[in-house]
Amino acid sequence: MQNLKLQVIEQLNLEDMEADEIDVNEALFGDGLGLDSIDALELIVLLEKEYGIKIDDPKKGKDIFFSIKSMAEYITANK
Amino acid sequence: MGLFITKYAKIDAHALSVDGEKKFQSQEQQIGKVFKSIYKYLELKYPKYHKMDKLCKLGFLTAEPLFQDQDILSKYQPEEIAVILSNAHSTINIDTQYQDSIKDKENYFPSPSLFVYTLPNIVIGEIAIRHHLKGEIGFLISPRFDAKLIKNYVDNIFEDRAIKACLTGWVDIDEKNRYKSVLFLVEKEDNSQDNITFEVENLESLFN
Repeated sequence: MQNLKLQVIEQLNLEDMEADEIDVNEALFGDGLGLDSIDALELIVLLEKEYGIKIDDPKKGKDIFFSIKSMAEYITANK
Repeated sequence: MGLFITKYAKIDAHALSVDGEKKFQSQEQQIGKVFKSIYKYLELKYPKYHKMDKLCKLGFLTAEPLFQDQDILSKYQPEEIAVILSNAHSTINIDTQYQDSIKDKENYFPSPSLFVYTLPNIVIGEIAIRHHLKGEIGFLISPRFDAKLIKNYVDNIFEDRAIKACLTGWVDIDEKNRYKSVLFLVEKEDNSQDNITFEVENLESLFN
């Protein structure tokens, strides 16, 4: 998950943020990391670019991208 | 019209000053770390900060001390506070970064999180979101800080009467990360003998 955190930091251009500053269970959107709809697009691109995973149902996005942990679990299940 | 500079802040040479008094000197050298050290000094907890590009971070951090005591926000309605900023380099800093990210045709993935910042008005957007400002906005480009341009423009929007305060000034960073920001809070009221009249020579003096 450390690697995934670094990929998220790079993809979202979270300059000067360290991987240790992201809690794997912390909500990525809203009050957590404060991500928004533009960042959601970036995470979709990240899954495709780094893992070859395409999300065909946008409604699943909310669950997939809830946290670093949920992203990691989805990647593991769909790689 | 009687307008006054009631507060001003500057980030320059890795230091934050408020009303002419140095508040914090960063010991960092890399610009991102300089800004992050100022963010920590201001004891901010604002996750959206980390997504911003360098220009937005610079403007956001410079504006923060001007609104921290909430005084101006309690005096006026959101629609009564305008934001008029200026710089020389527009968004060249993130423009070059974005250009670099899409130059490889074999690996072409335009990044929304980069190109969303390729418009200088976004600096205003980030400040306005943070402090709930809803007055008139504008971003002016000039080769150097133009106190006369700022004075004329801000005078005109106060004539509108709906504006009672204005955040104005300079937020600039070039493609080599050379930066300077100076922001002024301008109000109609003269509520302190320390207030400085909003005149060209005062703007120039405080800028330098």
